[in-house]
Amino acid sequence: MNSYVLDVRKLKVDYATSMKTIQAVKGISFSIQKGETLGLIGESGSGKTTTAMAILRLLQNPGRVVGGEVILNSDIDLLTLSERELRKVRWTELALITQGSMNSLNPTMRVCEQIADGILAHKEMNDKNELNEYIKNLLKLVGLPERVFNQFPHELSGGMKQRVCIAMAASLNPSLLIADEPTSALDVITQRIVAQTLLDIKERLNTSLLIIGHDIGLMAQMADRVAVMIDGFIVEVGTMQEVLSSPEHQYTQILVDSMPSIKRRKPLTAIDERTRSEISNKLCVSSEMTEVTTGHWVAVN
Amino acid sequence: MNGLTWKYALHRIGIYLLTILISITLIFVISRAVPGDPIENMWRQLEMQKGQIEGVDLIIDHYKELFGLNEPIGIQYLKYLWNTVRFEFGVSFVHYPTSVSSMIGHALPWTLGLGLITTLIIFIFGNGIGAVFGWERTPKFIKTIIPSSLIFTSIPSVLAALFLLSIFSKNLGWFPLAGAYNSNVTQGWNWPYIASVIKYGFLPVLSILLVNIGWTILGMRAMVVTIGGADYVRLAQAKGLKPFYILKKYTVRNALLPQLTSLALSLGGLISGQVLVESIFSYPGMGMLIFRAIREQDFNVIQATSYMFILITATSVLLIDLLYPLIDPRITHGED
Ligand SMILES: Nc1ncnc2c1ncn2[C@@H]1O[C@H](COP(=O)(O)OP(=O)(O)OP(=O)(O)O)[C@@H](O)[C@H]1O
Ligand SMILES: [Mg+2]
Repeated sequence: MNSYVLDVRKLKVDYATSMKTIQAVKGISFSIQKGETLGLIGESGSGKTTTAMAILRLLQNPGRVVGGEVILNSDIDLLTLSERELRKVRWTELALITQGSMNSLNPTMRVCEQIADGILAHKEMNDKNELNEYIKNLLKLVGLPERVFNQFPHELSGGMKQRVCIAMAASLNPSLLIADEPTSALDVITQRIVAQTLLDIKERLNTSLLIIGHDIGLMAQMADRVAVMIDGFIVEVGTMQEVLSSPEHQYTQILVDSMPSIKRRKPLTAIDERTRSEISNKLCVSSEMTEVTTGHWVAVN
Repeated sequence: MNGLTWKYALHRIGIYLLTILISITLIFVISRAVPGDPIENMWRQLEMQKGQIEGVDLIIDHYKELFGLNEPIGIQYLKYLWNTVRFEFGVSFVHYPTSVSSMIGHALPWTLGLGLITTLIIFIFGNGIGAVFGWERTPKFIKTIIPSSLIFTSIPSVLAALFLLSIFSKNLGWFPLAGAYNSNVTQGWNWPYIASVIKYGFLPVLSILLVNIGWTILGMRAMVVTIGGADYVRLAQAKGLKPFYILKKYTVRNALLPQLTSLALSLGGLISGQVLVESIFSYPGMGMLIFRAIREQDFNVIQATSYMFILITATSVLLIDLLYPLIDPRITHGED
């Protein structure tokens, strides 16, 4: 219980517009242990990014956390921190690799400046050479050539940009990396390279990783445990192996079933609208989860 | 590697020179296409007022010879071109024999000074205020001031000028009615003179400012709001950077480029607004000069001042073009 890097309890997020209130996250709970990789997976619109942003307290308007706790390192409730305290925790403890990293870098700043300002916001580093060496070393760690140091984002390919983002996120050795679809918008080969880079860095720094995605195939290779999301609910949590080999929830079963395989062709429509709404109608905010086997939890419908 | 490259600069300068060549040609063509002949018109008019003048045809012909109007059109064009690029505009018909270039020489500094100061104030303050209004952290009560910055934007600067002139100069007497400096003070780098220049220039600057700054404020506010939602700003927040640093280096920095473009686009309007404002305040600049020349039908002066206005506009746009790559590294990218 005490070794959790992140413990999310009954987190609820609403987007309240003047027309209606969208409940994007409906009271989800999960935790991540030290050094562990948790995959958060689910279809588009299921609330994955919202969950990540709520943890980071970066929800975009009109998003509001309306309930729950997000405990970091077993003692800090991120949701109650003052703005100053929050700034201190950001990047030193919690780092983000954003979704669609194509636009994650400031187009008018050199790569080195963008890595440097994050470091300098938290660490006194008066020796300019030392800082530059440190940044160059980071770039080398993610497999980028040295010239990238002085380049602007538009001079880099998508894969390179994403690796800059990984280097940036790793720069202060945070306890948790949150990567929101770090490989979407990349071709399959580059996806694998970037994913591997991410895993390497994670191993080297011995941090925990919350990785969001909808590619269950890629996720299967990266995550130790997986949480399956639909419609603002988590319906199943367990080790990757267990969930893949014996999915308990109907939605997880469909998801696992839809995993592409080169050996056997499958119909493309893995889930139709009726089944989907049947599943989500059965879920409700008070849904409890039961433990089928140790560490493998499933929502009761 | 980045920023201003030679290739980019040469390309822009080439376009600049071409613009000027075309405008000189246009002025030449238009002036020849105008029906009637200014010299003949002038003498015929004189004749009508004073009665028969002896040998008027000979005189007209002599003047035509003098101004080179009897030569083939091609030669006339080349001579005109050569003279124009040397700022050799001949003499004023009306204020004979004052040379047009000396008239321009006296007027130009006032116009450039007035224009430069207004443009700088509009750009710096307009964007500064716009950024504050667009920033998510600015208190609500400040943001509600926005509409008041727009009161004047929907009226032409002539009206603003008349309005300010009648209230602050005529009724309150706080500012002078006309001119650019106090003629009782010795000109030069002394404080009383500079103070009088500021005092005389205040209302003209203000009337152009009030009318134009609103658009800059609105544009900047919109840009800051848009960029505030960009992924890289969110990532900057995730880095734990200070909010004001993010505003400066991430948001405003990226918002400035489109603002610079819109400045370049609005220059023409600014300059023509200034022409009218100058004539209302009898400010001894180029605007006043062209205004008077049109009234007096002083042909050479009209041509020369039109050319100078085109030159000023084109040069300002060129300077802005050369500024772009220093702000946004992507600009020169496609060129090499
Ligand atoms: N700024 C916003 N305003 C209003 N509603 C929003 C906003 N952002 C997200 N939502 C809503 O919240 C829900 C969850 O969105 P979210 O972006 O978290 O999904 P996601 O799982 O990350 O999807 P994807 O895989 O497409 O990234 C969606 O129904 C979406 O319409
Ligand atoms: Mg998302």
